[in-house]
Amino acid sequence: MFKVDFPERRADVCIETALMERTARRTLAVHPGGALVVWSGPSRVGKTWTARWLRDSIDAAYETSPDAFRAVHYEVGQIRDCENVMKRGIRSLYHATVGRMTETAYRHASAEDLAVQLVYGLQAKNVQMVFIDEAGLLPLEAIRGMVLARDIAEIGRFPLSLIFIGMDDLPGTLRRLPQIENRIHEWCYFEAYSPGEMFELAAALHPYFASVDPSTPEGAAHVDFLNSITKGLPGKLDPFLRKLSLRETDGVGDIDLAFLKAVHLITARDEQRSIRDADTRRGAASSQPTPTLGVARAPGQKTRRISQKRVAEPPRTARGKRPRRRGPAAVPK
Amino acid sequence: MSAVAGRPFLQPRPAVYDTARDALRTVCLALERPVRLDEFVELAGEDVAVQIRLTYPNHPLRVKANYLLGRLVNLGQACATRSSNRCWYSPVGLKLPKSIPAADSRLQRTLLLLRATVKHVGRAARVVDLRTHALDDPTNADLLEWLAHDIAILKRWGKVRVVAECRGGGYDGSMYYLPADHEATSAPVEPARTWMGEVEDAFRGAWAAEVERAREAGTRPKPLALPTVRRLLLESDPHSKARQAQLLINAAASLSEGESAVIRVVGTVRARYQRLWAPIGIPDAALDLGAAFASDSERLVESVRRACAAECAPAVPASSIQKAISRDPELHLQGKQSLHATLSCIARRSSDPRRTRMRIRQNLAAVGRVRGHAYYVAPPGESDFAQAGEAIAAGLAYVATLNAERELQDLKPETEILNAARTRLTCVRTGRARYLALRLKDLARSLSGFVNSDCLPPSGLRLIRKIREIQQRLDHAGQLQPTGAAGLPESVQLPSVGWTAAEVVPMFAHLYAAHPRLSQPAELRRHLWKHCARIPNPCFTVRNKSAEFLFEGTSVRLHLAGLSGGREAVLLAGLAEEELGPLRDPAFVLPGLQSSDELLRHTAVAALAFLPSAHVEGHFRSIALTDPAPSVRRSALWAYGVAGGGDVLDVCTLLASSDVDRRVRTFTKVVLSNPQPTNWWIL
Repeated sequence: MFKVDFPERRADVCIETALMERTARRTLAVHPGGALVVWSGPSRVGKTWTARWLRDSIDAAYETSPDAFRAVHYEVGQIRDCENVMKRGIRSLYHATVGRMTETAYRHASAEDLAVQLVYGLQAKNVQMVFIDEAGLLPLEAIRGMVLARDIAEIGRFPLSLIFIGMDDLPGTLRRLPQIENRIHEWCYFEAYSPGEMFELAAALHPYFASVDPSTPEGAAHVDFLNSITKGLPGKLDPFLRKLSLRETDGVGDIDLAFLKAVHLITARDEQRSIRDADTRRGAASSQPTPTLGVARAPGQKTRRISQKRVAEPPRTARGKRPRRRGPAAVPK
Repeated sequence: MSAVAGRPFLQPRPAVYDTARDALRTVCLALERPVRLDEFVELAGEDVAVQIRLTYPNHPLRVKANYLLGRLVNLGQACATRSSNRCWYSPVGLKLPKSIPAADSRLQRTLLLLRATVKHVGRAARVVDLRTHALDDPTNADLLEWLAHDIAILKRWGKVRVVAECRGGGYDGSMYYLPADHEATSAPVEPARTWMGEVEDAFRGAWAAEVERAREAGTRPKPLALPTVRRLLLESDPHSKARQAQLLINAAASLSEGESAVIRVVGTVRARYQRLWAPIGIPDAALDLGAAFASDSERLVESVRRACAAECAPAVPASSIQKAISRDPELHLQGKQSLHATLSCIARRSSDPRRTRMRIRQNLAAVGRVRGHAYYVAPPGESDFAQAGEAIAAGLAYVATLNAERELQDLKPETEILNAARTRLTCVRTGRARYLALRLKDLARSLSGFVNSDCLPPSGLRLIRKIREIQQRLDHAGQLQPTGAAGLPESVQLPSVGWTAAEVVPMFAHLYAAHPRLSQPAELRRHLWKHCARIPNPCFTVRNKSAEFLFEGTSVRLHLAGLSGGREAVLLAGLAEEELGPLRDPAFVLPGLQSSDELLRHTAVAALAFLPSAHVEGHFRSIALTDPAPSVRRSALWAYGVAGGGDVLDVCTLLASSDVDRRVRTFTKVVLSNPQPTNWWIL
């Protein structure tokens, strides 16, 4: 009978990489006076992790300096593109950083009032840096509302920095608004890690990799293998290491490169199979003939063409008459 | 010579004798017949009357005229003839063309009048016919007063016979008369247009229509109700006596009494206007008694029963009753009152507005309100109060269940558990959990009383189970800390501070610049009704004397702060609303003021600022002066000002000059520039 073995909960381990430190320094450098910063890069490269690490570092150092401030990281949900998008964007930021805004205050205030209220609340809590994750989901008007709040803070001499974090589509979105594009103080691109950096990360997280010397041919093979499965994205390393830990507990054998490949193989094989099946179904659907209206007919049997006029006839009006056609004039005979 | 006593033998006759003889001759020639004394006196002339009076001054004219006529007869100058107890005089030697009239007495003249009337109308006559015919002849004017009396005497003497009788003749007479020697044994009788006749005709017409309707529907005819007959009478004559319902009741009772009854009461005898009637010869077995309603009361009772059956509920609101009525035209109310007014009237224990007479039976009972809608129950059959107790108890249990369901919906316990877990202050988390537990306990208690009496509906039992599950979940969430933890009180104080709209108006004068219509209590009440919570008014007695509900104080403050408050008010209102939730006990917030985290202290100050509590002003003052965080100092100062701190301006003055934070100094300077009590809300 199957017995559930609940995995042991382990504390998150944060490895500070050079990319993270570099990005943090660049962001903090433009913070005085308030800044708009964009962090972009491929998915799973570590943007969110970097933002949380920086937020925790800033909050941990809050008591150490009279110029200290607080930082908030939040992930944007869906803001539908409908009316009052700007207000919704500001309210979203308010809820994430200050607290709940009463429905009455939201309904009766304009976007400008809400922005001023947001700045007031941020001042009260001394929140000067806000990491807005998944900013690519935000409509343009919502981003404009957030930028409006930053501008109001700047006028009030309150340094408020907004860091927009998103994937490759975020820069393109921001460039659609010149008012925002020209105000961005810093662009930070999170590029994929090099194979050596990935191996260093793995060595810091798992003792096996720490025991492998990357300068040897065997170690280089390990580096190449690791790079092939992660593509330089640290986000893909953690699941692999967890699977490795699970297989380790099975006590199948010693860990070596073949073992590592075997751990990855099952996942890779199932992934390929899933993709192949999906492609096959899509291809089968696209290769079939488009079904025609009406009953399927045998090959060679003539089909009756449905009159376009009948299909396109508008419904009758309340008086039972059809509305006049406003199309092109009839071609004279 | 012999002397007659009192009169000399050769005394000459007075001249009045000759005058009287000549006057007699004249009158007889005028009438061409012998005359009576009264005719002589009337027609003799004034000079004759004067002479008679002068001759006999101490005697009445009529007496002396009679004496003179008698003397003339004795002297042989006139002759007298008696006929019908009357004396007719005529002069001797005068041949008159006419003789003495054959009939002369009033009774005889009445009989003659009857004959003439019968001949004239061609049928047997009633008193009204005689009266009408007598008016045509002025000589019969003296008969009108005694007409009915004389006809009754003639009937007793056998001179007149009764051939027919009608109902309700009244002053016009109810019998048809013919002379006893009349040729026809019976005469055609014209139908009488009496009130009783009209009512009888209306009953016949209504019954004929009902029979036709039943025949077309394939059912048995239903007995008639008086309103139906009344409607027919008023349709034929809007000024009919049917406008007075009591006359119709009396007429129906008369038509059902005696040997000549034409209608009868059907079913159990009820109040006279609520009886059902059917023709005398129709048995109950031939009638459809199932769907007949005599009054709006019966219709409503049946409507309530049908609505309860349709909804499978022991009690229903007026809207469901209206739906049941709309499905069956027989249940449409006939009265002018609205449905709600009729229901309220019938459901009262007393039958009169002054509550002096109690009803014997309770056909309808009000068993409570759900969201302001009254629910009614109709006990089965005609049960008295003791028998109706079971049905009413089931209705009360049902209404209690509905109210408990609504209250649980408003409470949103699952959401509240999640929200309480997200509060920043641990003490507030405990307070919210205990408040929720208390409310759930009260809900369960409100239903538990009905569990023992077995009248709780299945939905009530499910609700009790659900409440218990939520209570267990609350226990497992670990939010209910043990008593005494961190100095927290054992019990939670429920919201108790409430205001009416009129009391709120002066408290928030700063609103009206932006929302002028809210300065009117009625408009403000409508506005607050949608956005603010309400609590029952402990001083409520009667609906028109005091408000049944009050607007909960903290809810009003939070709402109005968001509506028109300044930056600080909106900021703190948001923090307070999120942190407090439904909790209104400051004892669970005060420990937050001692927290080492400035954000938590700030949240505690925000929450306490909107809780109406008198003993936290001192806390606000000390925090405004001593807290290390500038935002907390500023918010505490604001809360102190809103709470009406006595020396808030002194504190502002002190902070304006000595506070290290620029924003606090700016804030205090703004306060000092316009130190009005209501300005705190717009800062």
